[in-house]
Amino acid sequence: MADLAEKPITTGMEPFITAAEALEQAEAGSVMPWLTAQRNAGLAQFAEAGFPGPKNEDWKYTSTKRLASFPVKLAGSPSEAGDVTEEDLAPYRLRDEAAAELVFVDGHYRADLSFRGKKACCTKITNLAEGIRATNQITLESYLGRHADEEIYPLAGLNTALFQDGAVINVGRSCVIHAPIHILHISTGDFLISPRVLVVAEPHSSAPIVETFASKGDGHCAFYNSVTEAVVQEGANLKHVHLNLQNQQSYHVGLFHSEIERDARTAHHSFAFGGALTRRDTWINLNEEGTECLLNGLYMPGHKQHIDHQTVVNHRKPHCESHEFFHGILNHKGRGVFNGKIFVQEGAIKTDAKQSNRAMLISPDAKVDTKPQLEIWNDDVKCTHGATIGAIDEVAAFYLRSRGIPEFKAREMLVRAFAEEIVLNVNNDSVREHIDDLLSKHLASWEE
Amino acid sequence: MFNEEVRDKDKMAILEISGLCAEIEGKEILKGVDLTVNPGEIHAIMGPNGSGKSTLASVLAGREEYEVTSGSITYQGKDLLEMEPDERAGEGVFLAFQYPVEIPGVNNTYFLRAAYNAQRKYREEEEVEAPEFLKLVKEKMKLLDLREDLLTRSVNEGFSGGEKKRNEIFQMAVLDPKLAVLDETDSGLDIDALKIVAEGVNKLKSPDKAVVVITHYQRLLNYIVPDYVHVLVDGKIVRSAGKELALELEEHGYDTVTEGAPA
Repeated sequence: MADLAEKPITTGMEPFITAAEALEQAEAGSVMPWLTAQRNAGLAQFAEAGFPGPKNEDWKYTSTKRLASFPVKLAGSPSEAGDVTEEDLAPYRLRDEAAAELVFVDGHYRADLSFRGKKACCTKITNLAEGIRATNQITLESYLGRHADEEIYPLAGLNTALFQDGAVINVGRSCVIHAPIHILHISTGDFLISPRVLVVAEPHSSAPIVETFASKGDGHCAFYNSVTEAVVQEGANLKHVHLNLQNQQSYHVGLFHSEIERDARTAHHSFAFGGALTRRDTWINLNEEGTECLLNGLYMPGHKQHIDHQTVVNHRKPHCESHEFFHGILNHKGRGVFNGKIFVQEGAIKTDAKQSNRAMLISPDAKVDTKPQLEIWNDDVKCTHGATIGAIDEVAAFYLRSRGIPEFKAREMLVRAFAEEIVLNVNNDSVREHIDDLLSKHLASWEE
Repeated sequence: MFNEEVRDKDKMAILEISGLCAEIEGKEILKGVDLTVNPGEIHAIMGPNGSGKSTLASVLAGREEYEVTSGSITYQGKDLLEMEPDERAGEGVFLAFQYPVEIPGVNNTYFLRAAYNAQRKYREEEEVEAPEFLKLVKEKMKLLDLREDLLTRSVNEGFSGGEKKRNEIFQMAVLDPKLAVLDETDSGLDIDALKIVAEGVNKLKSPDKAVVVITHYQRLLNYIVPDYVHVLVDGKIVRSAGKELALELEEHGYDTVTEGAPA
C-alpha cells in the first residue's frame, strides 16, 4: 500500500478537518474517552493520507476531485436537518410490514418516521447517537471501529471522525429473524453526511439488513460517506443489501466490512442505480474454517453517472467459499468501474473462490473498466474468474423479434434479464420484489 | 373475421417468391428462387449442404445480415421484405430455428405470453391475461409431451437438443401461425422426438394455412407428408414434384436427381 501516500489530493482537506475538530469540541465531555480517541485516530489517518489521487491503483478510474472540493456543511443537530413527508419516503419504504425501519434525515434519526416492526426480543436495534450516550457501551466499545481498515480506506477514517448517527444492530444468539431491518437514509440538502452502522450477529443467528440511500427530490447535492462494519459470529448468517437510489447530483462513498467467523456466512448485495458519483468498497475477511460469502452486485449508470465497485475477499483459513457476481449495465455516457480482488493466504487450502463480472454496454458512449485480481499463496485451491464486456446479444434479440416482440421491447427484455440474474440472488421475497420495482423505475427513467 | 374476407384470401397464394436473389457479406447464396405456396399445402425444400436452404429461411424471417439483391416475396398479397421481423410474426409467419437461441434470465412462459400478446396487439386484438394464457399453454404442452418445468425455466437454457426443437414446435402450436417455416427441425432428433415434432406440424395443417419444411433428410417426410417437394441446389430450385421425389432423392442422392435438370 506504499503508493497510497503517493500524490494524494491534499487541497480541499481543510474544511473536512475543521468540521471534525468542531464536532469533537461540541461533544467534549459528553462521550466516552474511547470514542474521542477513535475519532482522533480516524482523523489522523485521513489527514495523513488525504483523498486518494490517480496514482493510487485502486482509484485510477475514479477521480476524487469532486469530493475534495465539496463545500463541507454538516447538519450539526437534528434541528438543522431538513424535513421529509411520508410521501417522500413512500418509494423507499419496504413492503414487508413486519420490517423494522429506521429513518435518518440528513443523517439524523427520526423516531417519528421510524418503526420498530414486529420487534424480535432477541434483537437489539438502537440508533447510534442514542447508543454512544447510553451507559452500557460494551458492545460498542469492543466492536465499533475495530474492523474497518482506516489505513487502506482513509475515507473510513474520515467517517469515524465525523459520524453523528447511524445504527447499532445486535442480533442475539440463535435469534433468527425473517423480516428485514431497514436503515433508510434520505438527504434534503447539500450536506456532508457520515452514517455509521455496526452489526453484531451472535452465534447461530440470522438476519436480513437493508441499507437505502435516497434523496428528497433533485436539485441538491448530498455527500454520503458511510461505513458499515459487520461481525458475523460462529454459525451466523447475515444478509446485507445496499441500495443506492440517490439523485443524479449526489455523491456516495461507502465501505462495507465484514468479519466472518467459523461456519458463518455473509451475503452482501449492492444495487447502484442512483448518484452522480458512487464508490463502494467491500472488504470481507473469511477468518475461520467453513465460512462462506456471497458478493452480488448490479450497477447501472446512465446520464453521466459514475459507479465504481471495489471488492476484496480475503481467504485466511482452509475450506472457505466465496462467490461473487457483478453485472453492469451502462447507458448513455454512463461510466462503470469494477475491481474484484481475491486473496488466498498461505495455508488457506481447499479454498473455493469464484468471481464473475459481466458488463453490458447499451450505448456506444458508455464505458466500463473491469479487472479481476487474484493473489494466491498456496496450490491447493479452486479459483475461477471471468470478466466479459459486450453489447445486447443481437441473435437473442432477433429470436424474440421473430416471435412478434417489437425491437424496443426485445431489447428491454434482454437488458432486464441480465439485471434479473443478479436480483434473483436476493432470497428474501419482499426485498427482492422491492428491488424489482426499483429496477423497473430505473429502466423506465432511461426511456425518457 | 368475415367469411367473405376469408374466401378472398383463399384465392390468393399465401407465399409467392419470385426471382429471389440474396447475399451475405458480398457472397451470393440465392440465385433466383421461385416458389408459390397455396393455402392448405405442405411444401418440402430439400437440398445438399450449402445449397441455400437456411438462407431462404433466414430471408423469410427477416434476418438483417442477409441482403436481398433482387426479386420479391409476397405474403398474402403484401410485400414481406418491407416488414420488420416482428411485423412478419404479427402477420402470421413463423420460423422454427435450426439452432434455437438460449436466453438466460427470460422465463419461457413470460416470453411466450409477451410474444402472443404482441402479435394480438399487432392485429388489434385484445391481450390475454395470464391465467387464460396458462390454460392454452398447458393444453399445447401435452400435445408435444413437454415437461411442465420447462415453462418456468429460461428460454432454451440448459435444454437438450431435442427439447429445444420441441420447444420451437410448442411455440408454433401456441402462436398458431398462417405460414410456418421449419428450418431443419428434424436434424439431431431421435425417432421418438421426430414423431412428436411431426405430429405437432400435422395438427397445424388446415385449409387456410401452409407449411414449408426445409430438410436435409427424407426421414421427416415419412411423418409429415408434403404435397410438393422442391430440390434446391446452388441457390436455385432445380426440380419440383410430388412427394415421390423425396424417396427418389433418398435412393439416388442429389447428383442423379438433379442431372439433366434445367440449369
